[in-house]
Amino acid sequence: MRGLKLHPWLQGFPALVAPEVHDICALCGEHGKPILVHDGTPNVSMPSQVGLLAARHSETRFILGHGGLMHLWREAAEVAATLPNVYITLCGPHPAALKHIYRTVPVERILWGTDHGISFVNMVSYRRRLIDLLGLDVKERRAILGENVATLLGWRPQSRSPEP
Amino acid sequence: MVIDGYCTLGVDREYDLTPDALLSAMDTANVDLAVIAPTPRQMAVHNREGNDFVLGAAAGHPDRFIPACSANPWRGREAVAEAIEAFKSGARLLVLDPEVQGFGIGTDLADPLIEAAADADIPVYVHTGGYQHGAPAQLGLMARRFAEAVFILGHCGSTDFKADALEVARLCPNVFVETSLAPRSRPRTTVSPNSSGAPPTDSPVLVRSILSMVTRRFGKPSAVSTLSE
Repeated sequence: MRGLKLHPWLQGFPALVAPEVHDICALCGEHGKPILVHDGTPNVSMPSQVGLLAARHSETRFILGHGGLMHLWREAAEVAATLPNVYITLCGPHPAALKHIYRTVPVERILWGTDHGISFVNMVSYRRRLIDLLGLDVKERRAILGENVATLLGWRPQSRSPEP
Repeated sequence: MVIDGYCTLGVDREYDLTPDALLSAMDTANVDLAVIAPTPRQMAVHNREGNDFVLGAAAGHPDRFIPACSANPWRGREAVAEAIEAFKSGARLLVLDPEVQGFGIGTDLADPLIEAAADADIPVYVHTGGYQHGAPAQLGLMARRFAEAVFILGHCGSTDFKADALEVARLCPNVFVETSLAPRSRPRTTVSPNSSGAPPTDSPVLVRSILSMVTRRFGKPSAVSTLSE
């Protein structure tokens, strides 16, 4: 197991800062496992709320699963930019928001994800084209499209290298 | 001294509070002073009208009312100018209401107003509790960004953000919580006294302490200084 996924909105947490969640965060920190948190949907899955957790559990790494989606991407970028244990996934916001995230968050904490499977549309191709709009250089592309998440999860690609 | 930390003064839609009615209610409850703020319509659109009304009411009863002003962040530089003018005219608090004024406290839209308030040593009261724009955690981001500013977390995140409100107060020494809409249940966790000397957030004297903090930090209105503590 490489990490933990929390979805407070679907799983019905009363609050991200509930004592039980703190216990889980501490446990993941002890074992070096990052926590991927669905974000972007009030009232229990907001990026700023993940920021509260990350501020208290500095030893634990958190991933904003959706970069604040369509309406909370500014606070998502601020949380990822100001807390070194927070990573952000380019998976949800519109192109202008993706550019804002790219400009404000250190590249090593930006991940790429597609959320493929959520609809009948080919989300992989769609999200991949959005990345092309950012004007990344070769090093940044490698980092965002694969190396960052591989490092975060302790994963060593065996059959394929990250796309150049 | 007993100070009511937040009242909305005015008659508009669901608000029906004249200065005389407020004074009568204060006398009945043995409240010495009250912070008075403009109505939602005035905070959203008619900023100058609301600020002038509140400042005028406070000028008429300087020993009973402490004026709070507001300006809509969407007005940009006009809002900053409006707030500064109100500060110069005696306003002791800047009030922002993200839901009413239609902006996210998780964004940078209100940053110029926060800077102006901090420069004038005026605390910023922020209504919290709205899902999209008024979450305490969003205020926490703002408070961390403006460590030199003082914030009052209005309504304790009521109804659904009580836990977040306490966490923000715990993390941010420049955030005080105001309990006027807080649930009556005792919180599961308490906030340690912070660097500004605020008591724990489950303290029954918190509402009073907020304004005590304000007056300690920024001085009392001249008429108030004659009242015994």
